Amino acid sequence: MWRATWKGLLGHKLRLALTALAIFLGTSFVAGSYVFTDTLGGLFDNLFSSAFAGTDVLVQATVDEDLSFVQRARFDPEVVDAIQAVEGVEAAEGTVGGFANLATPDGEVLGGQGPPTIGSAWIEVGNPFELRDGRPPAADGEMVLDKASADRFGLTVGQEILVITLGRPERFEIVGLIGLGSSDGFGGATAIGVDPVAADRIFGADGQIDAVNVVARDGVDPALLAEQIQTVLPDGVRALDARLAAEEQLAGFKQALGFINTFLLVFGLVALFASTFLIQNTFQIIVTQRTRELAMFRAIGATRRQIMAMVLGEATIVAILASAAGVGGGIGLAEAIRWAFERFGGDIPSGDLVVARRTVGAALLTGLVVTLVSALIPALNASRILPVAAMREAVSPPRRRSLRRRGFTGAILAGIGVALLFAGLRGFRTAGLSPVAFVGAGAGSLFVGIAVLTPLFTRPLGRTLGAPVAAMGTIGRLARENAVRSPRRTAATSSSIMIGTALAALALILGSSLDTTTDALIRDRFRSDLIVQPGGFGGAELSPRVAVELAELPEVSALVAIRRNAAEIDGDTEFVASADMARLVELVRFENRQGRMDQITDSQVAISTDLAGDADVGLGDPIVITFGSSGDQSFTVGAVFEADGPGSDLYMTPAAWEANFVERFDSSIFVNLAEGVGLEAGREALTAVTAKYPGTNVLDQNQFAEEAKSQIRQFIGLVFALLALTLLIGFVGILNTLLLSIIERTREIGLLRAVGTTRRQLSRMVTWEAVIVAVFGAVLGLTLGVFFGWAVITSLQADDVEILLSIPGTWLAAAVAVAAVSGVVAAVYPARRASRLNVLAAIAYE
Amino acid sequence: MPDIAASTERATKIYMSGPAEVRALDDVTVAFHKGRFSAIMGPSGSGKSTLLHCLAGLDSVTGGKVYLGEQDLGTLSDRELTLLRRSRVGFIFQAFNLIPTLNATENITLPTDIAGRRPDRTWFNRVIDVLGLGDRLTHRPSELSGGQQQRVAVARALVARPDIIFADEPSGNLDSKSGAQLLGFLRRAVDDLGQTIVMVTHDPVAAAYADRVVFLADGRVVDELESPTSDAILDRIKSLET
Repeated sequence: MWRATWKGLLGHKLRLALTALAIFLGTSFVAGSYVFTDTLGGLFDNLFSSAFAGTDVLVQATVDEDLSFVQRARFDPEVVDAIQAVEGVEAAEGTVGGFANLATPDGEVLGGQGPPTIGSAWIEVGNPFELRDGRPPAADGEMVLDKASADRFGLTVGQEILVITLGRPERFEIVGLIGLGSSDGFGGATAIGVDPVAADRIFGADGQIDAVNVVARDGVDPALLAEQIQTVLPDGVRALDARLAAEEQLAGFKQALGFINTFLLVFGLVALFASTFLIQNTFQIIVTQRTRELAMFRAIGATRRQIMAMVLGEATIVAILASAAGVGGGIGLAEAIRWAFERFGGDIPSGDLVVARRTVGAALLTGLVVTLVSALIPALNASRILPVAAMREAVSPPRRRSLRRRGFTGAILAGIGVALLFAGLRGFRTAGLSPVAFVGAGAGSLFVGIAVLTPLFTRPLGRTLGAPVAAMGTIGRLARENAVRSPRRTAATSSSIMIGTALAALALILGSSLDTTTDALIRDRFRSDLIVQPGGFGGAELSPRVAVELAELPEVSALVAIRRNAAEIDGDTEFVASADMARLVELVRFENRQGRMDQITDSQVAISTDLAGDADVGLGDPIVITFGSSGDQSFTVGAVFEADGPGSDLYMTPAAWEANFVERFDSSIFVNLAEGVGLEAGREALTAVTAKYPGTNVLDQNQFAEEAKSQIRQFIGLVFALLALTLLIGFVGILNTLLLSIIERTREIGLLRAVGTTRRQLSRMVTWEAVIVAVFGAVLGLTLGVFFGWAVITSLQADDVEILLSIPGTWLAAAVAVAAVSGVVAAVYPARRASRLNVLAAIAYE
Repeated sequence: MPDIAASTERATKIYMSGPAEVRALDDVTVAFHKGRFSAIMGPSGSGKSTLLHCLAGLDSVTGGKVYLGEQDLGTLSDRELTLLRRSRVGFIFQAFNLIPTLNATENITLPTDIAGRRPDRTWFNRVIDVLGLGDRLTHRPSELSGGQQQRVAVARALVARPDIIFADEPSGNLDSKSGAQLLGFLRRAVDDLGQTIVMVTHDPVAAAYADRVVFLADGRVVDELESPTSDAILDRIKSLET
């Protein structure tokens, strides 16, 4: 039986190769996601362990686990003396650091939108850096820079650069280049070190310190020493074995990496899901073609089970080969992502990619499961072939199961899908299953349900869509009839395209809705003339000096600086903000609901109606906010404002902010111009100030809106690029089905050629058939995608999120056009085959 | 000779079957006249189908010449041959004559439709009338009997008004009654409609409908018979076998 399986495989090389391609694409993404995160994880493992290489015990303020990315509280340097007095301590030194932006002296920002620049004081004790060139910073105004960044920016020892932090930008001379362990870089981030006096000033430490590095005497256990040190520390400061500290930080980092992993995994799974239709179709076709051969096997005594094992055996071999290739593809993909990261300013050392056993296992397992599940129904059909079929002249199509049952099954699946979808969208969760899982399962079930139902309306819908083609003449009519000739096959073929188009349509609708909403909101709320914003996402945002200097301009009548950062409220991470409240309501429109927003005190906060609902609090109620550095703090709700879209849900006074956040950067500054100052004159005046702070932009209302939208568009663009993958699978599906149809219709094609159809006409017939099938799938997908979009938006609206549903007609039409073009391309090879068919061989029957 | 519809001149067709050389046609010179119903007979492997295919421009000879009217087929490209078949040749095969996705009318007008021409309505109606297909025009092939399907094929061959119609065992798949009926129609197409038909068959009864029978054996023309009866044909076959 195995020999027959093997022969069967060889007999359908091309078709199975196409199937394998689909499995390969999906498993590549699965493997790639693991390879990439494992590699990056391994890299950061190294970095973090080298970062604490010289330190035995690290003393830092405690930070809330979920908010580990906020800056930790600072503490008095007297702690260092106390630590030095602890028995077993060889040396201890305090250090201070923070985010910075770098620029050339003529104002060109270095690093731009890339990873942040992290600065610290250059100290003696436990300094992890190694000098690669030059000397350490010995005086204020001198700095060292990591060698990888220096190479990237083209900087050398002796050059001066601007360091922008909380104060005015300052000039520093590069006196040395540093590295960390075996690496010259810091995983893409830029590291700078300055003299401790300069560090205290530029990071606004005001004599306080961020951490103490402690070196133990020889033979002293760091864990025990940490316990000893803990006894002399004030509240809120903790001593930790440095290796544990490294692991802790690494864990936080890996969590962030997990996003990339999930993102790639989701695409791998979507691709594999789309592949299931292709795989099922291919095997069904192969089984149908081999009906007589399989019947012959049955006639000579093969059992049903053996026939089934034969088909599943073929599937297994294809799956294993394709998934194994998928592991290779995953390595390539990880390599490509690394390349992309490097192009966009990241620095991932070209070390070996990590291919863990789990990666190989996951790729093989998903590939195998998906293939076997897809091949199950064809295998069952094969086992049901009667021995007598071997004697029959013509290959009879598989027995038609009742359409009523098909309709029933499809409707149930689709119904369950819609129910799960809405349950998920409305935030329903149950043990271990997040709403996202519900949405995913619902969408999957809906897709399968529609795919099951599709054969019921393939003919009418296909004929309607194909009407313009049929109107072109006989060739068009033949193409249309061929496209709908086998409804099940057309349904299966178009399903992959349906999934791709549906997701693309969803992405387009969400993008367009966010665009429209952002536009509307900004026009509605933007009361100020101009807004000043940081240009990139570097850790450092706007120096507080910017607002101070702008306020002194005669052209400025009023301004408000807003700070934003994360805190936890009621278990959820929220973006909270602070601003001069009186100014805020003057420059940004808020719909005040309860209390007076402009009159809240330092012990009060203003919250949105959203947050009020989520946390179940109202005016005058206490609300507990968990800050990363200062822990749980209780406030009173002093005002409630109408939530209307993106922006913070909670505002506090600057004094309250400073008591709870170490960060002092501003996120944005809204500016009103004095009477009689034109927009352009105002912009010029502001720009004169901001020019001193490289990386600061002055935007008007339209530019601000564009800025906000461009970020959404980038994300949508990324999603779109990955969805091209599902289209590729759909493309392979069309190619596969067409090739098969041509083989089945050999005689027909021969007849057409005999009665005078030219090769070009035949080509056209095949191409139009492909286009009709592709557009058929795209239209189904579009319908589903619009439904998904509508469901998501209305659910958000039901959640009180201000978002407007916008359906981008042109883009959706473009998506259908793309599908149609992919049909044309998919038809190139089959059309060639059809037109090159030997007429005589096609009509001979002797 | 203006009344020759198709002819060959020392036509030879050699193809390789594995290591063996097969002479499907061996120096065949034969002519088929306009307005006549001719039959080509011969045992399996005698080259009768190959001759038909070469005459129809579906296959090419390896030596000698093939003419359709006065046109030398050997000088034509694939595209020119296709256009020639479209306008000047009709076909009736043993089976698989019809496109399953098209109804009877669409199948009948297929060659003219493909050529982008309009079929002559009067002629169309006359053909349909002669073949008795009037009430079957909107049916798809799967809804027609075998005999009806072959009649549709005949109608398709006739409607384009070709110079010559080639039929390859047209009654081979039909029961004797439908077969006789079909051959009757072919006879009428020649007598009443003035068509030219060349038919390949191995059935003496079918061949007896023709005006003339050409006998082939081992790729050569071995005999001919004018105004044959089936008995005469049988006798001739027997004498050829001995």
